[in-house]
Amino acid sequence: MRSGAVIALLTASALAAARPAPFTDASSLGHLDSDEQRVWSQSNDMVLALQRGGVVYADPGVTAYVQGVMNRLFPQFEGRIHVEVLRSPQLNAFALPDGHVYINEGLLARFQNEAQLATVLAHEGTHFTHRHGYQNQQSVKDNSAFATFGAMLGIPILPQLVAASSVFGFSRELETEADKGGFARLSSAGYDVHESPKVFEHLIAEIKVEDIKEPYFFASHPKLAERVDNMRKLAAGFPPGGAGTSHAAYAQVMGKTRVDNLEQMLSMGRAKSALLMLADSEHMSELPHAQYYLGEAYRLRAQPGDAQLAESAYLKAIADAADFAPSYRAVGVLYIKTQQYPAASKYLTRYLELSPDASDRKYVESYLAIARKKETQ
Amino acid sequence: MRHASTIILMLLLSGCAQQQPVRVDTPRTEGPDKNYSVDLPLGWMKQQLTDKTMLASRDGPLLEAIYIGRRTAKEAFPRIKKGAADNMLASELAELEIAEVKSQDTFTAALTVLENEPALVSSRDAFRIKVSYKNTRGLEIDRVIYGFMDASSYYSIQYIAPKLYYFDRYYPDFEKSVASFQVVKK
Amino acid sequence: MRGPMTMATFRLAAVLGLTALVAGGCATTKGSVNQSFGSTPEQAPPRRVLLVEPDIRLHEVSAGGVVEKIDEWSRQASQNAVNSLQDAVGKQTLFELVAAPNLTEADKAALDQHAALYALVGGSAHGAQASPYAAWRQRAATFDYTLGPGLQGVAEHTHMDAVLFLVGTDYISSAGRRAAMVFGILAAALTGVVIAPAGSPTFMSVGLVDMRTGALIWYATDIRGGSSDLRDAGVMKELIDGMVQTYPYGAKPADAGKTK
Repeated sequence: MRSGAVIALLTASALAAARPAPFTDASSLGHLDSDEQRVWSQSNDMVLALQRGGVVYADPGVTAYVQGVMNRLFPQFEGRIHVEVLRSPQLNAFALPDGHVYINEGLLARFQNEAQLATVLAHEGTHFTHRHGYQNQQSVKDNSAFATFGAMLGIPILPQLVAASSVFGFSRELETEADKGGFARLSSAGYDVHESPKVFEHLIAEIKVEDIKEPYFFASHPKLAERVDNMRKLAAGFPPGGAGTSHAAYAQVMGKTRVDNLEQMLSMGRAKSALLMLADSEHMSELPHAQYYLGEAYRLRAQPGDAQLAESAYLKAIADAADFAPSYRAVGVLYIKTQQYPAASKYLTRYLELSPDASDRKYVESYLAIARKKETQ
Repeated sequence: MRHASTIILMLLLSGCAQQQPVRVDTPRTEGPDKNYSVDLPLGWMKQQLTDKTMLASRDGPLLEAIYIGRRTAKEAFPRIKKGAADNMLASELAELEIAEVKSQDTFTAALTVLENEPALVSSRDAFRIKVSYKNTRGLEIDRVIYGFMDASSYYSIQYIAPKLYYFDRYYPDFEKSVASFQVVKK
Repeated sequence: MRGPMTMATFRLAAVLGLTALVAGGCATTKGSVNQSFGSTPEQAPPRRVLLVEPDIRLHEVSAGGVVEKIDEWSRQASQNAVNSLQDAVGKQTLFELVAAPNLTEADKAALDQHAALYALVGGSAHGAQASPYAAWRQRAATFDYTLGPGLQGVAEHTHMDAVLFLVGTDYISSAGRRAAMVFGILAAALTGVVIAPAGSPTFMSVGLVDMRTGALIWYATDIRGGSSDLRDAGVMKELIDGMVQTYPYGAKPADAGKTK
């Protein structure tokens, strides 16, 4: 009983700690207490590491576009919520306590329109305006202290559970607040709010296809399916329509990013994610040399039947663009693997004719040598 | 001292590895289970880190390191959960190794492939790749990897060093090791 | 088989042990010198040394073990280190220490890159020295670590011979953590359950690199467990003075300091 009373007291005092008021505009950012200033300056180390480490996506046009969407959502902050794109194919975004927001090119590439992008930026921006990073840091410290004191008192269970839920990302409460606050920003800025559930649908599809066990993105609490429902409920009160729904306009800005992202996904062996993206007929129609990338994705997935699918896609790519060299190399190498040496010779020779300075020339020449040797046997 | 890479260094130099590091006093070294032999630079330290990986370094693995790895074909690329096969072309193995390195962390994911070409190691068709990426302080790290299949094993021989001074300084030693590498037929 | 007397002895030992842990640990000062440096006339001891901005990071450790870097403490410790070092090298006229000279963008970039490399070189030297394996300690004893010749241009442009790096770390327990430590001691005495608090290690190092050759010619460290606090100017002075005692070259000649 005595220990139960202590638990109740400790828990109540921590969870009921006063929450700081949200930032309202750029001028409110100048009034931080020393604890929050520390949290801001800790963000700086990560910002510097990301800049120096060469992981920021260096496309000024895309960066300016994304920043523009953020500024439209949070006009009162006069650009102080600073967005950068990271070179990663993972569907992820995060906000640092000091107002730096990062979004991966993988997520940018997966969106269909600006309203979906705005959904994520509004959510991350709300984490910043509502000082969730700072609150989370304080919560982790407080709850870790609980775990320590609780263990000393011989009370093992509650403090450790509370500590654990804070360590693995923002709490359910803070994520829900960011969803609601972000939604309000989205509608105030005039975006079509009915696009917001689709963001979580993209994440659900990615998790399924890559068989990811642990949720990620800002998805630790609550569960993704629940968030889709929450977004739909929030949107239900709004009439249809709104800005940012044009797929074509978004594709025009994100064309190169989608290609870069697809190539990065393929180079990291993420064939299933690549196929998911290519299954979108709009992406396929907008993507230059889409059939080539489809062939590469099938080849890398390497499930039964994929070799034939890859071959078919490569040959379509050649039919679509007779001077696109990589398609010839791809199908030529496939024919080496399947011991169709005359065909391999034909396509690999054509590849080198189209791309005499190819960086993989030596590989191709070695395969041609194999093919020619086998042809004469 | 604070950086993650230094923590790795401390682990490697502490008691957490499988065998103690020893100085290379004779050039020829055998792998565990005597599956291969290789010349390592005299005066360097060598250490069998795990049953799969050997490390050699003169100044410490943060400055220059040769890693020799042997995995089963099925577990050739553990981060991307892909295996290798004896009938894979060298360029296919190179592709998988690049994916494996990219999957190491946020910074290697942004690597640039500088060179990628066929090679011969122990008379076997192999690949040679050279990649470059930056650490958290913006220091460029260069890495050359040779890889090849032999029956049901995937071998990799890697050299990692900061581009600034160290990579070129000991690269010839690494190439001599690669040239000396012999898979032992059993 | 435990009897009442044995349990009491155990608890007393636990209390005493924890008290010793919290009250302070031992300090280790070590200096290493590149013995082959100075073997030619061109390798003269440095006279003018460029001081790179110190990389000293102080952290607060909360009651629950959460570690936070505190910038204002780090700045304070850095200033303490610079002041103490200026004082120590000045008193013994070891060399002229120059902070923040005017550098071209190219020289700044070169210094930044070499500072990043120094982090690996210093880490390697220290890791080898502190290794439990004789092989690495023997390697460290042949103290020939280098940053390579890439700073020659900076040396020529600034008319300086060497660059000095100050690197340090400190972990300072918060009031809550200190309370937890005291609580832990009391709890141990009362219950027999011992919760050993994590140490609060202090690490300081100074590395002097000859810019003409790149050789790390002097490397000194001071490592302490226990409750050092680098915000304290007196503590920092003691560390720096101790490390400077290991500097191998003595006072610079009387005609030193003239611009080349």
